Amino acid sequence: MNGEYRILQDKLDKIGAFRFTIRGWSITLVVASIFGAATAKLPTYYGLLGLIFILLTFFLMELAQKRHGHTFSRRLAKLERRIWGLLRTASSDSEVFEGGMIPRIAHEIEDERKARWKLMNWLDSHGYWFFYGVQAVLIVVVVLLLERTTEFSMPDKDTTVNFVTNGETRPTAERDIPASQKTKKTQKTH
Amino acid sequence: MSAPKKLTKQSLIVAIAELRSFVEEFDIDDAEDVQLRTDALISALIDAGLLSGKKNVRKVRLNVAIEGLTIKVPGREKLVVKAEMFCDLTNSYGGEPPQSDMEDAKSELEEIAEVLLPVLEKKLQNL
Repeated sequence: MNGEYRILQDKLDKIGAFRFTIRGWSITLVVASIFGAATAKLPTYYGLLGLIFILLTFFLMELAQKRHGHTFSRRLAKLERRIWGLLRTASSDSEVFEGGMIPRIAHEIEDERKARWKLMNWLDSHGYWFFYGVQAVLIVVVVLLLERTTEFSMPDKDTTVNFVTNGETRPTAERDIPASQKTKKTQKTH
Repeated sequence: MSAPKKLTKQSLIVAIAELRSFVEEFDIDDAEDVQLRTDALISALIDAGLLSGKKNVRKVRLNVAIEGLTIKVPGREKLVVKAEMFCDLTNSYGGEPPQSDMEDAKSELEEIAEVLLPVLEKKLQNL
């Protein structure tokens, strides 16, 4: 029983570490992808929306870990009661075991949870919704902003953008020079 | 958080009645009900102004309530230990407590009431 208690504690530690790690991956992936896409000047940024599916995968992984954590916590509480019961039976005349439950880690955490405001508990247990939700919204907003920026900065194929050099207005690209003028220029050079 | 209330005759009668009925109607098959009754008893003690200082009602367990009683309680330390034991015996987190634990809890409560009831009744007479 003591062995199982320790295994469960170890499992809970690992679950905490795992959740922290996948959150780190998620943030790194989203931020790196957004910066990468913004600097690469892609023809379209809608591909970034694919990150939402990866986020969803991370979310589901965290949800599973949370579920396991909940199950393990309840099992820990059961074990605490059994261990305490055995200790009381084994040494009923000892005052050491008359003050309350020993060990009492899971029960202590539960007592603390009960003592807090319901809203705090809700935020605590649903924090990952907020975490992944904000990232998903961020991706959508960034995609829309980048697409909008691209629309404004890319000139229309038929629009001629001119610039002025020595008081003479010239088109920016050769493709924009009318065919008649091109011919004239060619003639002059010969 | 709420400020300590003023001790009144009526609220003290309610607290005594709450403790007495809790002992009499203790149901060893219903841990949830016992926990509710414990919370009701703590609330009655707070309403009667018997707890010292500002207390966050959510954080007060029975042992904390007995420790903080403003009236003189003989053998308070032993009662606090008993109350802590009582709370853990009736705690249903992780599953319903076994019947033997509930029976132990009942006897702990009876011992607590044995000390507390005369103290509260004496206080009522002096009001």
